[in-house]
Amino acid sequence: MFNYMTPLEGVGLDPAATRTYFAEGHDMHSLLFAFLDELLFVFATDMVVCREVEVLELDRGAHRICAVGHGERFERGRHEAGTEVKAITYSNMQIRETPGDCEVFVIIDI
Amino acid sequence: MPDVHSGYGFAIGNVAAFDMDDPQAIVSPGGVGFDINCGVRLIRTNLTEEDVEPVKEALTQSLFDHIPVGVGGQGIIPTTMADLEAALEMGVDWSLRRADVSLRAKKRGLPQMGTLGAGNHYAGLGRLMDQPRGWAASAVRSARTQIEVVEEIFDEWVARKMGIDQKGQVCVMIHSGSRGLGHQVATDALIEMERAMARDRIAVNDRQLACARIGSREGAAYLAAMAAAANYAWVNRSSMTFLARQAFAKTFGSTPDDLDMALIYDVSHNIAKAREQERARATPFRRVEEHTVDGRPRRLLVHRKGSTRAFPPHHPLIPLDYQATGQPVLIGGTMGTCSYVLTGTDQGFKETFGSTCHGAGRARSRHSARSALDYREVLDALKAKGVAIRVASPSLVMEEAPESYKDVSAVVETCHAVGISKKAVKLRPIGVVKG
Repeated sequence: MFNYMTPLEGVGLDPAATRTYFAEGHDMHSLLFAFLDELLFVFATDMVVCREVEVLELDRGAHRICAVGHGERFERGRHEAGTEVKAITYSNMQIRETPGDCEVFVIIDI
Repeated sequence: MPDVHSGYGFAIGNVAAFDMDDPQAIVSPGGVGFDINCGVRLIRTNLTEEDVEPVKEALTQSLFDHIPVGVGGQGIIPTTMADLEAALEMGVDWSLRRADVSLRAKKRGLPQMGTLGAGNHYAGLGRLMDQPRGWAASAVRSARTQIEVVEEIFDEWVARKMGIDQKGQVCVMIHSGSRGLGHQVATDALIEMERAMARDRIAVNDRQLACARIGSREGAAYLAAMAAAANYAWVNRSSMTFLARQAFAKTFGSTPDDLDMALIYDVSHNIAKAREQERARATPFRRVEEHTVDGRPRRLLVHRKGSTRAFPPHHPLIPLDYQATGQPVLIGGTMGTCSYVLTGTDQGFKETFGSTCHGAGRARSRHSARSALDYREVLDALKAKGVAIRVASPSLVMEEAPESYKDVSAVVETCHAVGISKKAVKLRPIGVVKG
């Protein structure tokens, strides 16, 4: 998602842009939706682009997630302007979990 | 509509009407779209193509400089939350006093808040416009501002009512929506409704189709927030009108009024039409759209997603200036293709709840356009056609290339042939600014 907004190779790691992200849902799909929406919301309001996201805690029972993101604040001129992401969608959302691995499929509206 | 293409929830190019007197009837954010009140406005000038041609590049650059575009584009002057709230509330005069726009949505709208346009017709904004410090210049990513030339007049009488009286006359077309604020309103509503659907025993086969009964708390909250987001989009289009008028005035050493830069019309193609409740108990909505279904008049909540309201002559909900002609419908083409002005018809009112197409419709997904097209070729092709172009990012050139869309003329012809709208004017772009 962030790579679509601006190529991630041009994004540095600035400790000042490190943020902690919380989200909750009522099942795994709504949790995934809420988490991505939170990342998008922080970008749209604080202009913070994440290059790396580290999940600190994932509570599958309560459907809660806590993660920390590292990256940089987006600046016109210094970062290439890609495509604006409007929203996260539920459209054809898939979560495929296998032991030790997980694949998610989310369509974003651009 | 003939420009239909797949979307999230509802397809784009869709009209869905729900009977407001049926307690089971629903409102669906997916039937409006994320970009609430995405729409088009058209401003005329008294200039001709010959006047503009020698300064076309400079004028396009000036529009690009005046209207910030692109990811992360922000206003020049900070706007406060109070300014934003006033605009959300006063975008139209009466309906939105209680609009419940979430703090999240407002925060997303704040950096993108637009300047107020001079000469706009939203009377409530006049007081704010007088403030000397001005407002933040808008950052309008999905916007496309085009300098257009009248290519063909199909109906001279209708065109004259709009102040268009000759071929070669220059107009400005602005296409934009409610941006982050609208996207967040839609997202918040989706989350709320998705949660409420189990309670209200509504089952859908796609979570993106989440909806709520019109009269439920979630349904009413969405309609109010949607109306406020629509106001935000209108304020932004007004801002860009102001900026476009300034760019023209500077380039031609004149004033916007001397250039006769008046608004012809502004129309949305992502909206659900209903009015907020006047008396909460008995009649929840007033001035809703009335249509005849199976020979009976009904009050309907009409969702239009990628379709445009097109009301016939003499309909009480269209302005006095256009009572005789029917409501103007503005169809924005893509970067290199034509745009159209149509008018609504009685036939359309009967058959499509007074709706027609909204544009060309995608033939190629944004992603596929990126991989299949080369932006230099696209730019060269536009240059060969005499279109001056400024874009915020090269990738947008491919996504928005004429090859990525259906043929807008064929779409408009189809609507004309079946009688749901009538062709009035055809316009051709000579300058494009794309965010």
